[in-house]
Amino acid sequence: MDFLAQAFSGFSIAFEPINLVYCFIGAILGTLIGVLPGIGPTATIALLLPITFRLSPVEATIMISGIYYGAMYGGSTTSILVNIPGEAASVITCIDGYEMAKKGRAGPALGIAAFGSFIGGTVSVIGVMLLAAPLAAVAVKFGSPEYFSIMCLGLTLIIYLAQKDLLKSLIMAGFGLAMGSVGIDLVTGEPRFGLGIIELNEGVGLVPLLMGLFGISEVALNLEKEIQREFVTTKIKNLLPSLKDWMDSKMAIIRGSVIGFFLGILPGGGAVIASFVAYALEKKFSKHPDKFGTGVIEGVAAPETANNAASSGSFIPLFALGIPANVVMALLLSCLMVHGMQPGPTLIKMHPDLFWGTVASMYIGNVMCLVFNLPMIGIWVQLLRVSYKILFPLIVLFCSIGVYSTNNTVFDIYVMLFFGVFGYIFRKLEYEFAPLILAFILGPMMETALRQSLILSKGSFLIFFKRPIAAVPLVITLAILLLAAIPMMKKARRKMAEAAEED
Amino acid sequence: MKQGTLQSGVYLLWIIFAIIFCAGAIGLKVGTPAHPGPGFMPFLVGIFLGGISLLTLFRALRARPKTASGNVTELFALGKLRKPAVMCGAVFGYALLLPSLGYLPSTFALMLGLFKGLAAQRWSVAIIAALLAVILSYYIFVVWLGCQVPSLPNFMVT
Repeated sequence: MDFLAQAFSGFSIAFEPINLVYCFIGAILGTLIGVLPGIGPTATIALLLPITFRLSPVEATIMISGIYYGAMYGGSTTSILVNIPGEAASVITCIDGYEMAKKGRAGPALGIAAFGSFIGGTVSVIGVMLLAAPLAAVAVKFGSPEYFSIMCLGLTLIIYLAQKDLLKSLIMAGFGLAMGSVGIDLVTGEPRFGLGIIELNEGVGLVPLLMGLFGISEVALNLEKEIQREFVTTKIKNLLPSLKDWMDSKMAIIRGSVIGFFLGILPGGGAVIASFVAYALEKKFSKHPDKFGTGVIEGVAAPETANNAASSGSFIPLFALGIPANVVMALLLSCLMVHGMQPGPTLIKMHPDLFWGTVASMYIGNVMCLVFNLPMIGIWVQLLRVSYKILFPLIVLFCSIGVYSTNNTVFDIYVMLFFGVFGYIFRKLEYEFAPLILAFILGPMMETALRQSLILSKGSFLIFFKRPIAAVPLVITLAILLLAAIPMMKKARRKMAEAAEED
Repeated sequence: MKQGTLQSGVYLLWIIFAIIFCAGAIGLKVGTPAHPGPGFMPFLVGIFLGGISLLTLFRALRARPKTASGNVTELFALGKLRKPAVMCGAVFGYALLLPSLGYLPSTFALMLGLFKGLAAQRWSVAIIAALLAVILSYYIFVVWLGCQVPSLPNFMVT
């Protein structure tokens, strides 16, 4: 009964006119940036962070959530119509989605993507409602060693699941931890690595770092080339899937919902991984796996359902444990901290309006996305034709003024430029930034947990292995690193053997 | 220059960064595991970063040069760098001018520079787009969100 009362209270908060407005803004904005290639939900949330600081915590969380799951809806539109993913979690949708569009079935593809997203998102929101609060109740018993271990696991998973070079991702994580050390030491109050610059005593700003890495560097890379877009020009019709389409997609949607939800909870998982896994699994279970890639509707339904389910599921570790499962949640975490909220297992208990209001708004937002997405397909298609030459100056302006408005100092614009150049160079050298961002945000928390644990244990690192809840994530972390290291060592040994043979 | 050489150079830079970072951590006082000081975690991070960078440098040096390897002159060709450099220069100039010129003139200059200089729009389009961008952003950030930013040049404000 308490659960129902809280859920009802959440809906009453979500239905407040101002919260409905922010939910709508977030959902539409998220769909828009999901549609537009070249800017994703991470960059958009980073761009809007300064704005959210001026809203109430509930309004800010509702809007950011809306942007996140809205982007999952919007990403499928460009994937299907233009064969360019609107954002990373829609990459796999290009394969069958565009093929369906070429066969004149863009309508059913778009329709099933929207409905699948809605079902996956709704299932996931129910999961959040059921699991987050009980998990938070268990997590109250966690101490510093447990938190340190879980954060290590989360960071390691993000690194391990990196699309590119593992060692480069480790370097980025190390650099992120280093950047997180800049500023005043929380325990002794001593300034660290400030280089004599007063502004750096408060640490490297998250907003300039994000704007630089995702805004300025992205624009710089896009300026190098003309983005060529080939549109499917046939008329889009029959947006409502037929009965056969539903029958063909039903298992893909069910499996996608479950896979997406559980992969979303996992730190380091998220929408991208979920979409790939769901597609691969669907192909494996299919009676006609050879048809995948030629335009089968399951190939659209599975990843689109999974990415939305994952985007909602990833709220659980944030609300229950105070640990972000991915970069977007890390941004939301920083937003909550700016609003004076202490992320952790007591967040739900101390701020039930924030948790239940956000969860309820996610239901409403999913409905909004479904209702508005399909009729607005025509508008999204026109927006795709907006030249990047119009968009990029606006992105640069929003980055610059957004960064300035955080602390009213131009120093932050210089920091943004530094990371913009850094991001530009290192993207070309094929480094990934998700480990950097997560390490930067988790680093100070990890340091506090580590130091507290060591003080507790009088300097013994065995404390992490003597406590079962701390030991399990740490053992998994070491196992993952070993799992990653073994193939690398075998490959290196094979290369050495080949070189010795040739000599 | 081959890309492999550039990558090795970058790993070397990471090693140097890690050494400097460790030195900075030692300067802050590392402490002991029982009483970790402000330099404790930074020192561990520096060791970690240095170790991984050394590993990657070792791997890069032992790697066979590929016959069709990427060429760094293609990656960082002057022709490719021009527009990003101009964009960064424009933002740098904006940061220099903002405190003294104020938001409205400096933002208009930035937008005009980007629309005309980089996006190669016609003058009429560039001016109108720049004006709209200034008005829209002023409304959002200054009027709606209440950002404290000098709107006009210092000499115009009494």
